[in-house]
Amino acid sequence: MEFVKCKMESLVAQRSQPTDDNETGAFKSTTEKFRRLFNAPAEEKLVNHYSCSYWKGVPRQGWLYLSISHLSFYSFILGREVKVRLRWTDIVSIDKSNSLIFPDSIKISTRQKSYYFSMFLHKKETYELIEQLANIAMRQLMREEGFSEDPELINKISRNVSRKTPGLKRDLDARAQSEAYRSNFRLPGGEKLDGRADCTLWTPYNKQHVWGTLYISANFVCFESRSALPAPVPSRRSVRHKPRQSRYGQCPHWYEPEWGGGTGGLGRAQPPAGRSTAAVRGLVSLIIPLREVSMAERADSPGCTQDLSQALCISMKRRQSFLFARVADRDFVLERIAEFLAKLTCSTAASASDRVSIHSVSSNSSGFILVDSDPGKAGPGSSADHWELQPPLMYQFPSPTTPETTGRQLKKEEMWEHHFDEYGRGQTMYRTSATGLLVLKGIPATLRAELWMVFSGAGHEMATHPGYYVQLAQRASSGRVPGADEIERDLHRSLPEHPAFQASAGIDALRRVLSAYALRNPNIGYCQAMNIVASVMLLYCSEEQTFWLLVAICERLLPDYYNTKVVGALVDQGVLEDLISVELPDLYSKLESLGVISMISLSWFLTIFLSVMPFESAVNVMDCFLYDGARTNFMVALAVLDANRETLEDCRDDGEAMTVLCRYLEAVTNSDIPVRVGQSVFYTCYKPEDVKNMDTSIDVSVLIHEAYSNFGKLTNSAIERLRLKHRLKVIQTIEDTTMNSMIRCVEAERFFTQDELKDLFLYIKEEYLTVQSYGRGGAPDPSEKPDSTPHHYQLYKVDYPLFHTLFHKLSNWSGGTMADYIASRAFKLMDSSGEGQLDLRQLSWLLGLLTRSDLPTRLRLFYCLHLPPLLDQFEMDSPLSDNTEVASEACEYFDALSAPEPASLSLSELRELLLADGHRSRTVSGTSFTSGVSGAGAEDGPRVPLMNQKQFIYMWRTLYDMFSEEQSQPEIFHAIAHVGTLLLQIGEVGKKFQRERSASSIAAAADSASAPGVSAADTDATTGAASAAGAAARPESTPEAVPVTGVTDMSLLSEALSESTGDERRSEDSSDRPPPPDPGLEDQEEATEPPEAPTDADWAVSLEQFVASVVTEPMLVAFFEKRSDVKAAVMSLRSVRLNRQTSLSFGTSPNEASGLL
Amino acid sequence: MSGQIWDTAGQERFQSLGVAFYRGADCCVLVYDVTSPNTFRSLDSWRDEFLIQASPRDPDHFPFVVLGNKVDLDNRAVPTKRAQQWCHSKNEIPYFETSAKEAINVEQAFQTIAKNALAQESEVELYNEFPDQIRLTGDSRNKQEACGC
Repeated sequence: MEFVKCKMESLVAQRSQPTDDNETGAFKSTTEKFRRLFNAPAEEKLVNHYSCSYWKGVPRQGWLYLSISHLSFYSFILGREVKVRLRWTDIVSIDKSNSLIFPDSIKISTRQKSYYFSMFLHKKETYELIEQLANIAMRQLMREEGFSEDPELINKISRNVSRKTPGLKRDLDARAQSEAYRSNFRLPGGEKLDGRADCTLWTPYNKQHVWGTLYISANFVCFESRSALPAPVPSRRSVRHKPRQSRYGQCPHWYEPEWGGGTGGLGRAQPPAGRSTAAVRGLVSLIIPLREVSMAERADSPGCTQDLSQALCISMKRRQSFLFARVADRDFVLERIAEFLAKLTCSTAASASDRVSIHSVSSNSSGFILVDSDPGKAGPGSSADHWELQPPLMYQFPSPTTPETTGRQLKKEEMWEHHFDEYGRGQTMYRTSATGLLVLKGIPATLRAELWMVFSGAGHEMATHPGYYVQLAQRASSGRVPGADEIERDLHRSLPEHPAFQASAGIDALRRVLSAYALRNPNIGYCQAMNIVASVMLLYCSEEQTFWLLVAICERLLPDYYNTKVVGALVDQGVLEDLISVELPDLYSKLESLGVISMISLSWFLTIFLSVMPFESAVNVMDCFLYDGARTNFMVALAVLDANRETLEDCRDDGEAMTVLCRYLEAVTNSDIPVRVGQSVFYTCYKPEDVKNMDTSIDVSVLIHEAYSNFGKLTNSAIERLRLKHRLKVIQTIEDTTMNSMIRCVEAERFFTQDELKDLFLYIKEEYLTVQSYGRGGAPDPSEKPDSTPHHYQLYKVDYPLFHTLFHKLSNWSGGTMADYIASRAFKLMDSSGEGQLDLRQLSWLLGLLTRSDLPTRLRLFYCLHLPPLLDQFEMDSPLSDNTEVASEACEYFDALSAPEPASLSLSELRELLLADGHRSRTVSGTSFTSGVSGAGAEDGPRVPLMNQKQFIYMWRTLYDMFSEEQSQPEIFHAIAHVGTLLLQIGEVGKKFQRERSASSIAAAADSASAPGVSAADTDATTGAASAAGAAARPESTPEAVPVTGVTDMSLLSEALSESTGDERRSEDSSDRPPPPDPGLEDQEEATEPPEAPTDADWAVSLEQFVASVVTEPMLVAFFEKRSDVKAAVMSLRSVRLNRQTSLSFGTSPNEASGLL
Repeated sequence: MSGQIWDTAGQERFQSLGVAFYRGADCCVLVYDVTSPNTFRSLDSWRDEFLIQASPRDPDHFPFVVLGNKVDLDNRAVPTKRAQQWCHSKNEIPYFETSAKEAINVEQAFQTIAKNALAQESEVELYNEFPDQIRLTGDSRNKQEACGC
């Protein structure tokens, strides 16, 4: 029925809205309103809005707007406006609270404060959406994929959902449902749920029609029962069964397989939080990969009973068939299946000829290496280092057996054979509670490979990616693998006592599997613990199977466990903590006081108990884990703690508690295995001999049994919910740690205080996130990540536009029309990688030099910024054109770095010079200029080169220009003119000195240079400095004149000044402050450039002369010593952004200030 | 008396878990490989990491012990003098050159570790008895200095 309805709806919709863009008019207007209220940019997509109250003293009725990057609230009652705007990435916790003060509300906390919202009409939906959006934001923080709309998904699920729901909400719902669908049936990533229908499945083993739901996606048809039929009594009831009240709801069986709709979110009949409503589950589930389907057809037989009406038959290529009946909207379902089947045959046909299948499939899973499966491209090295795929190692290195254990194995195998006969074998077997019971007993070693592949879903990917592993392993053997050293180190630490890993067969296979995985998924690379999991799997499975199992575990079963921050494992520690507090409350307080909880789950969960139990015992846990998912780990962990409850109560410290648990786990035996071969890798507490004597010894099957009977109500969906909550906490903690260590790294530079750096960092991070969340900046390509974890301070990079903003806000050099040039040169100076990005440390250096360094250092920076290669010929020659283009021009400079002139220093030398000086001046705070100068003179490294006239004039022009906007200070122009004159004279002196020595005549050049200068300033050259001020101020009043006249006017004016006033001043100046005799002048002689008009080749000033001259003018000294207030500047920047773009985080909006604060 | 020796997890990605592992430690043993200068160089960062994560009351006087391991090998790359200098500069950290393989100096090293840990523990207990009195004066200043390094 749904399909009919939805189809009709969509048809109607299509007709009524020819220009359908998926949104209703009402929602559009809401979006408009939202954007207006919060000044949100068009990129910020509104997901939905809900009516509710915000508690601020009294409840304020209003609307909660949930958008992709923000949670916003707006209320306007009785003339009082209340606005709240929180960035998802700032939220540290989301709770449902029901206190007396805030009844039945949702509590949202940031690091600063908590917000309470209540009186929701749809509290559950709102809460879930909030949680979902916050978790998307957390993934973004962890540098995983941000949110991008998936138009395909919207259209898919929209068929089932009322069109009143906004498109993005539908997208998110669909996303959640697809995720639940995938995790429920262990399907490969990227599989999107297309639709579902109620129907019955004919189960031949008990000859019944079982009610359930059929799920359809592009590559699979799945079924799971959710029947109202009486539950079958499990074949064997637990003797140890202890009924236990649990918040996970009551269930009649102690074994409750997850297959049976635990993920409630799928069926509408079972609402997402339907933990308690699920009446019967796990009766049967079925997964049919469409690639194995030969045909899907109607199965109508005349005169059939009601049980067989609307029947649908799916036939497999291997002469198996499945019969569904009473299928709701059967014809549409059939049509969809047929469509997918047709697509599939097309693509497989195509892949057979030109091999596109791997590309198309892999492109879904974000960031994974795609393998070109063309064998021709395997590379020439393939024949050189030839290797064979390793079959399961257990055949080559069999475990010792006794007649008794062999008998047990055989019996188990028999039971499984019987099960196969009854329920089918392979991917399409009917999975029932009987299957679950068999798994709990431990899968026989010979069947492990097959069943692990089936239960984990790894088999699907292996089947659809033929050759993928071999290719990757091949590439890994010849190329560079991220983390190769770490892999190599751990090869001999993985099951080191097992003979298989004392031989090259095991070691080589392990190396190949781990390297291939590191290549496949650079987000994870290699993480310790994967070696242990992989080595155990290699015993039972082939190399290729091991690889795909590893894929299933790392990417689906234990999501985020092994990434660079082991986020998933940290999250699950928190989840376990919650579970302990519910299930074992007495123990919880004890463990909490000991502080053990955060330590235990790590190695337990990361290695699926393989590293803490003897592996032959732990492998039984692995059986259950691959069948049942993460909940197995939690149940076993709880059972272990429960079993040691009394001993743990007596422990005095964390170490003792850990020892108790280690000892217990080390002693877990497996009655199927006669001799203990393995050894724990992380903790070695006792020798096997001791284990034998221990009274705590427990068999693994008993432990698992305990786990399932006492904690079996725990469902994966319950875990998933808890994870959502803890992920926020974990990631925000990591963010805090990252920020602190980043600041610690950079703080050592001593330019800024911790608080200032924190502000700066938060601003940069917000900018980064804004860019990311609006999708303007592409997400970092995971494949480009470096092998080693980059330093903390390299996490967030600052590009030129952002630096430009900061420069203008922070530096007092940002006045005037030349400021952008200074900014771009400064940026270029510091950008050591040449990528157009600064890391936090470089940024703090640069901003520190610009705003915090002492006078000599800052003058040195200013001087150096006007030297080649920073100042290139092109820039000096080009008149100041349109300033708006400066930024883009500046960016081009980075690309087109002109080759440095022979006499000048390279960029890196310049940088070193400045930073070295920065370091010195930092240690000697308040250094006088003389010590700065002499220090520079005494330096061993490269010296700051001399400046020629052209460069000097350019520099002086810049300096004038900086003040062109400050009308109130004519004195400063006087000062600049004075110093400029002085320096020009000094340059002349140097020139004369040289001229005498070289006896070369360039008087003509000098004349030609001064002649137009006099005419340009002919009006009143004699009034000297005052006229200079006037002339410099002139361009400001007539902005158009600047580009054209500014260049010649100002520089030549200075020259004119030097000509006219030079003679009378020279004597006193030289007596006042004789320019230090500079050996650099001799160097200059060798490095003479061809004379070019109007500048003078021999003319030169040195940094020392420049500094010495500037310090004669207190106004300039004050200017170059000014320390700007970073905190205030960053604050204003953040609030500016809020007004411009509303990317507020902490509630400092001006509007809010009136309403909230 | 019984001592527990905890080894930190290997890869860098596990370092975020340090807090739990470092908490309540009485002594921190930094081990480097005398044949590998890199391991010596990273001693600084490990020490900082520990002090930050464990945040002991008196970071300047928290007992560290530095061990230069693998002295049985011939290809030694870090001179004893350099290591001693470093230890000297960090408030006289005891330094031992050891070989786990040949059991050289291991006994002595652990004697010192145990002694210093014991001394630290009694000091901590002292702190615990008068928590408020101590915090008022010199302690906070010391902490700040440690953060700056």
